[in-house]
Amino acid sequence: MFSVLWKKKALIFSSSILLLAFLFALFAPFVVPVDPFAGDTSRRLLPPSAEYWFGTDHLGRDVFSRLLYGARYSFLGALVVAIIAAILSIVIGTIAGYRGGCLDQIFMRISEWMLAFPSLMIALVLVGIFGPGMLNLMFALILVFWMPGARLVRNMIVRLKEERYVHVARLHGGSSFRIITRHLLPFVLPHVLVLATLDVGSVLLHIAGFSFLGLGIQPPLPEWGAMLNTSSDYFYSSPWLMIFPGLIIFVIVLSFNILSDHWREIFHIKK
Amino acid sequence: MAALIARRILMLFPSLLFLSMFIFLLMQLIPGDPAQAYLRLSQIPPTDEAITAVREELGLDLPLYEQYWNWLISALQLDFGRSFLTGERVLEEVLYYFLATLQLSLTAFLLTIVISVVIGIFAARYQKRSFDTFSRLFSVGGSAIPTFWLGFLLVYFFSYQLGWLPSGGRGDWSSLVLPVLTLSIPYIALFSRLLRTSLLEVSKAYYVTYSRARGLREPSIFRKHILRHALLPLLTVSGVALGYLLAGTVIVESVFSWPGMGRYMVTAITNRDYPVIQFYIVFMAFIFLVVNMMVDWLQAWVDPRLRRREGSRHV
Repeated sequence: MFSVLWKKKALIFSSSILLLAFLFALFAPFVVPVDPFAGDTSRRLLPPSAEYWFGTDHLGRDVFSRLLYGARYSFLGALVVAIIAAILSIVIGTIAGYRGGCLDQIFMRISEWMLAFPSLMIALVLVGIFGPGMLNLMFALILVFWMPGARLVRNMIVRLKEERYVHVARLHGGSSFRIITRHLLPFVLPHVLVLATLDVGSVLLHIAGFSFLGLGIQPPLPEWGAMLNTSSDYFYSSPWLMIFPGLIIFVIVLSFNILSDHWREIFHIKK
Repeated sequence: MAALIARRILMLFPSLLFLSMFIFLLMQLIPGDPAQAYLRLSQIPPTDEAITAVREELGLDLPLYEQYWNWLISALQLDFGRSFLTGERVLEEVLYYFLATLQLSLTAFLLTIVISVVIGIFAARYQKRSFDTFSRLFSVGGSAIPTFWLGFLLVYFFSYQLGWLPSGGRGDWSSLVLPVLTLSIPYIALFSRLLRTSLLEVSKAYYVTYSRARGLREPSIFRKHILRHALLPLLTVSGVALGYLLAGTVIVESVFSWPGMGRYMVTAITNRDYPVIQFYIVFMAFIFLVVNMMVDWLQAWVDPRLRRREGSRHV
């Protein structure tokens, strides 16, 4: 009983956090209390107060406003990457699984190769090849994150397309397109949704990590990882510059993980 | 078994050859000109004559297949070119930095395995009690925490506030503590949970019930029948983990100014230091192929069923 209640609370908490982050990301320019790019040397490194909730940074910029504005880069960026990767994985996985043959073989070989390396390593190599920058980083992450989903979709399609009801649908004269969209994908999509939700958190960690390394979104844009990068010299005298950006990444990633777990339970998907 | 190992080692070469060719082609896609990057890093003004001279010196004026051939021939003689930035031989530089990374990741690996096994066993033993709940919260949190933030928090408390440990750099053992903790905590969170699940699953098996029925004592059932089987999946995952720990050092090295491979690569990417980027990719691919191969052997050695399957696949 207690655990059910706790779960519900965690779910409500995490969904509202994510909804809030989404709204802030969309309407950031209209809701930020202070211009996130305007520095003012008279208010450098102020600790959190009623006026500046999360303090100010070494250039006198309001950390709270920058975090709200940063949702556009970290949060929306991760969301866009995960959605594109999910769509790619559905399309490629379905084609490989349904058509089979040579295409499927090529797909399986490439994916086995990629699975042998950690995602962080592949992303680092791709960023090394494309060069640092926001779009390059997003492109590299899409190339990394479509793969596990595509394998999942491919394996499910291979299994489902031999089911009796699919054969019956084909005997009824159903086209491949109709069979895929009506009889195969409805079973696959919940799995993709669970995985993609988990991936948003993971992508966010990657975006923040690479921006922290200086290889992703560049300052002065207030991406959360980049914020940690630019102010790292002042952490010990002004810890709020470190605590709040990290905390917000942590809470958002945690919320996505909780949401993914919840969807897994709703759709009765085993780990 | 010996034949299997020999075949796997021989298979490495075509894989590496293919990969290096692929990387070479991919490097051609890079926006920007290596010659210009070279001149910028050597602080020579990029006049037209200078660019032509450098292109000739680096062999960039040759056709692509000839460039690759030259690269391959020198690579076979263990000559991977010189860094644009430092002018040193890339191989020697990378080996130096790789040792630092290896020290970090192997220590983190050992710590991860030991602590995960301990936490996993206790969490499974005291299922649904407070320790289990605590370990669950730890694993939920550990999977969501950004590595760099964790690192800075640890530095803030243990070096800045308490003054117990150095905040960065590579020195004696004390400089190893915080980076290793930062690197391991997310993996401990993951592995302890995996082992707990595995333990609980195995303890439901029929042969466990049977050994209880035979009247074996509980500690001996746990040690000989449950733990041994439950550790098998951990073995598989630990090979993968070693790879992830090797890669995961990138961020930790930046936080703690650890002179390792990751930081070296990040500097190379920012400076567009082409020979370094190229060699880093080939080198890491080699390391990962070797690690994966060793994991396969280890599994085949522990689990005879795999050995038979592997053998029949190649016949």
